[in-house]
Amino acid sequence: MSQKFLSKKRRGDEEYKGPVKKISIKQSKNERGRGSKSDGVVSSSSPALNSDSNAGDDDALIPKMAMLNADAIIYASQSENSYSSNDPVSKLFGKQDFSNILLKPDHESRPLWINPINGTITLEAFSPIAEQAQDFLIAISEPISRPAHIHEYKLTPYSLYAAVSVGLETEDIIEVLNRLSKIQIPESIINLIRQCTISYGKVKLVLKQNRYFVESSYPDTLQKLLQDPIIAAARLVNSEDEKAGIFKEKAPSLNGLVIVPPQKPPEKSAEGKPETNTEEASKDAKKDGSDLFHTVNVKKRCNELDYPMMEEYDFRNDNNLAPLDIDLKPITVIRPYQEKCLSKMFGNGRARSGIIVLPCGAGKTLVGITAACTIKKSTLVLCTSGVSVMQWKQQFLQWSNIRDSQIAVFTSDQKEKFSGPSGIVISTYSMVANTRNRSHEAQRMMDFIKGREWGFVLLDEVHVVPANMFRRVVTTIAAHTKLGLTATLVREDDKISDLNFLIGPKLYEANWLDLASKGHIANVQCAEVWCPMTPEFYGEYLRANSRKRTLLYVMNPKKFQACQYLIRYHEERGDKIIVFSDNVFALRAYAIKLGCFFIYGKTQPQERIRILQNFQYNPKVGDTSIDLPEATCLIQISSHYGSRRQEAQRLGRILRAKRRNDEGFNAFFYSLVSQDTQEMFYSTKRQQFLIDQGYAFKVITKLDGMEKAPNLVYQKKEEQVRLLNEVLEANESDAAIDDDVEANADDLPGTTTSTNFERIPGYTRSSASLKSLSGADGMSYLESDGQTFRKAIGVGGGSLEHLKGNKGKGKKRQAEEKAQQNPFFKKYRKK
Amino acid sequence: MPAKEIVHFKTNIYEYLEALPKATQERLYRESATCLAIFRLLPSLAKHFVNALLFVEDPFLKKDLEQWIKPKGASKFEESWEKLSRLHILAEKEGYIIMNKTFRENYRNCLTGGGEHQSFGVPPSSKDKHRPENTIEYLDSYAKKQWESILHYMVGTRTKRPGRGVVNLLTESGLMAERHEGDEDPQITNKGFQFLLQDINTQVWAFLLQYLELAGKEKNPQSNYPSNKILKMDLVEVLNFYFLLGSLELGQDYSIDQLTPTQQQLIEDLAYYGLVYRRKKSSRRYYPTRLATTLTSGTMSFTKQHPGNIINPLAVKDMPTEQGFIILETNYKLYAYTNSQLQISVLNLFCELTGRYSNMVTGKLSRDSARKALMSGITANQIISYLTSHAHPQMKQKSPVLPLTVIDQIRLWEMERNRLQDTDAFLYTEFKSERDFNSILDHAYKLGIIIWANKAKRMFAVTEDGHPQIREFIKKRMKKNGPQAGGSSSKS
Amino acid sequence: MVKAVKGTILKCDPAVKQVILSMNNSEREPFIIEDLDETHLFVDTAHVERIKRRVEQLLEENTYKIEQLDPKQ
Repeated sequence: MSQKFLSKKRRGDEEYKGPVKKISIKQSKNERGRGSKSDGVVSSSSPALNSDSNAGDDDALIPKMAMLNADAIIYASQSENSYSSNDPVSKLFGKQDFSNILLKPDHESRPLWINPINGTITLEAFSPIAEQAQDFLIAISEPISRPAHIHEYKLTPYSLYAAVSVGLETEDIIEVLNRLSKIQIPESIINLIRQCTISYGKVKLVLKQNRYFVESSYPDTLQKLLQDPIIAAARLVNSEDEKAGIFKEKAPSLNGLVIVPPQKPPEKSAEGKPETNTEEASKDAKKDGSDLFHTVNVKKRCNELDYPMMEEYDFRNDNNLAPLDIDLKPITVIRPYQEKCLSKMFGNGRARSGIIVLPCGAGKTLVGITAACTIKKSTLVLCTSGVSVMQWKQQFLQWSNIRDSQIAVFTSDQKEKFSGPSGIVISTYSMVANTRNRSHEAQRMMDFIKGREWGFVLLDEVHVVPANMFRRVVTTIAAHTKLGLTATLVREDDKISDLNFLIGPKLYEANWLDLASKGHIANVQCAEVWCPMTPEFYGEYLRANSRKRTLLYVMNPKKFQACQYLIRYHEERGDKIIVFSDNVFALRAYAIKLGCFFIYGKTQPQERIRILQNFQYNPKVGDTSIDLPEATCLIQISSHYGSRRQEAQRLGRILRAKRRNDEGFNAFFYSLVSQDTQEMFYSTKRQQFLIDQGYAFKVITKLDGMEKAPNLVYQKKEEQVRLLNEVLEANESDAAIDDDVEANADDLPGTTTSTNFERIPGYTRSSASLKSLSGADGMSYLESDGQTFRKAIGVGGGSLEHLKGNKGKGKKRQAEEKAQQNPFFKKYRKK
Repeated sequence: MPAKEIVHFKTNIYEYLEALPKATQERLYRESATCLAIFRLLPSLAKHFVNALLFVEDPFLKKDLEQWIKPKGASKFEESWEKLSRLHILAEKEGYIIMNKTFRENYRNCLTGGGEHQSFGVPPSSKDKHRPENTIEYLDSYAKKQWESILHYMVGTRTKRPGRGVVNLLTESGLMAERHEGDEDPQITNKGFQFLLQDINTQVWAFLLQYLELAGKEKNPQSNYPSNKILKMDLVEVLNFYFLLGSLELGQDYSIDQLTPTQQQLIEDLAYYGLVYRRKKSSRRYYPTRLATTLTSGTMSFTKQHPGNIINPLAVKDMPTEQGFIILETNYKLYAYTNSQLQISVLNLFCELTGRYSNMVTGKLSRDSARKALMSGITANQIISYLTSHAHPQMKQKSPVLPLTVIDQIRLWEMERNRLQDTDAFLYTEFKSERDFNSILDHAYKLGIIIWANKAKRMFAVTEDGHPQIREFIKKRMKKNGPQAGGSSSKS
Repeated sequence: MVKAVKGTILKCDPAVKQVILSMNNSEREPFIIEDLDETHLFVDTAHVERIKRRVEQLLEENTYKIEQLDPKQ
């Protein structure tokens, strides 16, 4: 299965056909390997060397080139002749007038422009060759915005580094870009591409037989590196043959051309023995640990020498590491974009480390599992919570033929080891990164993990893991390949580049709208509902300090009413609704007032399970899904300030809606915001990421029919005033955003703020195992803190029937029409 | 809150003519060229009536005319009859139709070739030694240049300032206004923006009608003519000349000798607008440009693509020949496929421009950029209608054409500006009795000066202008009813 | 005795009114002459421009200006 997809990939990967001419993106020579020259290999790994390592020094891990200042390069190579046509309207654009750059005569058949000053690429997404162009652009640049018609990308030193990492070469990048461009590529951009790519990809770090090899197809480069004292010192000399410093080896290739001189199998080093029991493993772990330090040193040194190393794993030729008998089940179907992700990872027959970005619900897990089935070596999966651990395990069992005995779980409650020489361990970042207060049992487990070599390490939800925790994980585990999975690379703390260099470049980033239009994720109608503050609440708001303000705009009676009205409306439609709040005080108040179930940190485990089971109840038999309950409507009443990531993740909750493939199905995402408060500001900010993905947020200033709705809460002034008094009497800590309800030994602490859950008095931790049983998505606890789940039993079937009546029309069209049927999304009518 | 009313201006010569006094209309009909031009402006059914009745000397029953019409054409008949009778071309007397004598005579002349020839312009006796080469192309580009320079000035492209006459006409007519005291140049108003969006024929007529309005005034501030030579222009002469222009032939030169002094003064201004070309001011001949010769051929002809037709690229009317060029995305980014400086300047009125390639400009709609436009009086609807009518074919495949969320947002930005309205007022309080309060309030309501009133509080507020009237009313009431009726004390 | 006072009527929504009220309360010399109803205030004309600016400023504060989001460096 995996074989098949690999060979398929290579075909697809290598050729790009545009209408202009045939364009082919070559793989770099040594990667293609057919009839290529011998590669030089330096083996480096010496236990004898103990030069001090400052692995904690972040910057050194990042290739210098990827930190180049693009502006400076561009500025330095700015051509003399002006881009501007200097006509009367030129000054409106300042430096951004490029109207003097001539268009190519056949510019209409080419889809993009390149900004010579900032490297922005503007792409006509409606061009007949847009799809191919997008595949190319996603490899060499960062997507900025991808709405319906025109997309923007940006060339950055980092994106170019990533391009080289997946096998593109400098001249190919320039050539293809030039063919796609309506204008000649400006000299400044050519310089940027050259400077950022020229020395990338020349040196690779390959882990084989438990030794790290520095590999290059440029012998000169290797000689140069060997002259460096640090690298030379780290070098491991095994036999007389290698005294020459460099030995040649056939290039990795699928066809396996034999090249003279045949490689002499290197002697097994002590470290290379496969561990069979934990005692040995722990001993070796120490050695491995010091090896890893050297590797980090060598890596760092290479960066300093401007030869950043890329990490690859030649898993096919690794006879040392015990194979793992794992394959996808025949019934498992991989979607085209998932194949594309994998092709980026295995494009040259080896496994590259890197990050794959897919929206929630698009099947990241399956990508990870398929990758594991391809590498077929021991695999370590790290997740963010105990619940996720259980989900991963279930998914492995569901999609692959892995035997139960070969898959082990390491959490605060369960410390399993797999039997035999190879297997899968699933754990959490916290468990692995934690260095203090480890129980004896946990320590033994850690020794087991550290003491062995992993063919593959899967890092789930990489964007939420604190950078320092990541570094600890990455440097303590011997991994041949690291794959990071995430829904969005947006981080509020700007540590993205850090992670990228610890794991590897971004290999693929999906287009959300594209996936939605193809039915892979649900169509979502997004709305921002404006709730006017009552005069009393607003008066207090204007007087209050910022914490109290938060509570006031969340507890706004009009927001209560809007929430109640929306719940009622969607319940009648047969939707399953989740209400999100960052604030436990508000969550409790809403749930009690509106008669909903709610879950938060204090919820007793039994209660939690009961609620979730009710919610997940589905008449369909045999539904083994362990995803988050099938919510189709999401209402957020309070959010984490301007966190774009939280917004994207919350939206992700409904992207996997079961009914997404029903024609005309829409999921609904509502943000309730109190008008004229800071919440308005945050709300717009939060939406930016999704808006650039092509989502549109409809502003609803008035919910149709709400004024006539019966039995809304807080309609009487006295009630509103009583509520106001409750809010005013609430503790400061109630106003605080509750970031971390679910923290325990397995789970990551607060993701974006430092607010500590311990401040909430009487907080009790719930047990991880029970949580796992509840089958809820761990991440939902993690970042959502408090939630209200509302069950909608029995109505689901009816609405499905209703939807089935609409066959024949295009899905998208249907969705739009459907949305129109929701009165809140009606076409704007002027009053 | 309702969107700000767009100030409308007369763009329609027909409406203008209709509103003229009967005597003025009579005088207009003395010119054959004018009769022909007015005839051409009529709806087709009305033209049919005029032609049918033109040579019928016997009295004709209106009833009989009605017989010609199928029942479903009744409304068209009414419309045509309305127009003809408002222009006093046809009238009904005791059931019979009477055609205006002057009109009948001169229109007949024009058809039969009788009467004075100069009605249709007289070519000079000599050949023009300085006749431009490729005359028609030359005239087209001249007209385009002149007219676009006016539009450019309106949208704020600071190229060359048009003549003082043009600037005055723009400000007098409210197409532009001084935003701040002492601004060097006035800025476009919502009326001006609306003007930009019209097709060029409508624009020219709007300009000419505005000119007429000012020309009729005692002092004529818009003229480029030296002030000592200013005459009170005769509207009929001006109108006759407009209509004359509409009957002239493109590429032909005409003598100014047959023109009245008013018309000779007029022609100088029209040269600024690009309607006529004269090599120099002292020249005794003039060439009408396409802007002039198509004046009375009806706006329809502009929607068809004639080679050389001058088209206002900004017009929002459906122009089948125009390819939409604007893409507006849900993320508020705007991409406009244009290299027209005029289009770019218009976009700059409400959009933040961020970059420009030789065939495309990029920008984004932001609160700030929209507010800039809204503050000068351009309305959300105007922006939306401009964007809609110029939307790129890719956008037009969808319905609605523009992203709904962005349209909503533009409207919200507009509404946001109306959240606080202030009106200077006088607040009346401390009424002794409900009866007093009610009767005074009733009176104020009748005068239409109430801004706010509350019966429970016994208070109301009236406009500043209304205040003296209420004060008087209360005084009178006091006199009549004696002091117990409650006096008024006013402080300001 | 009927009294007529010169001033300015401000018509606004309840939220804007709250802003003006809180502004009024924080000043040494109040400018509100009469609180008419939920959406109307009668104020001293001399302060109108200042009030408008304050309301404008508040709306501005709650508006997020779309910045060019850096594509993850």
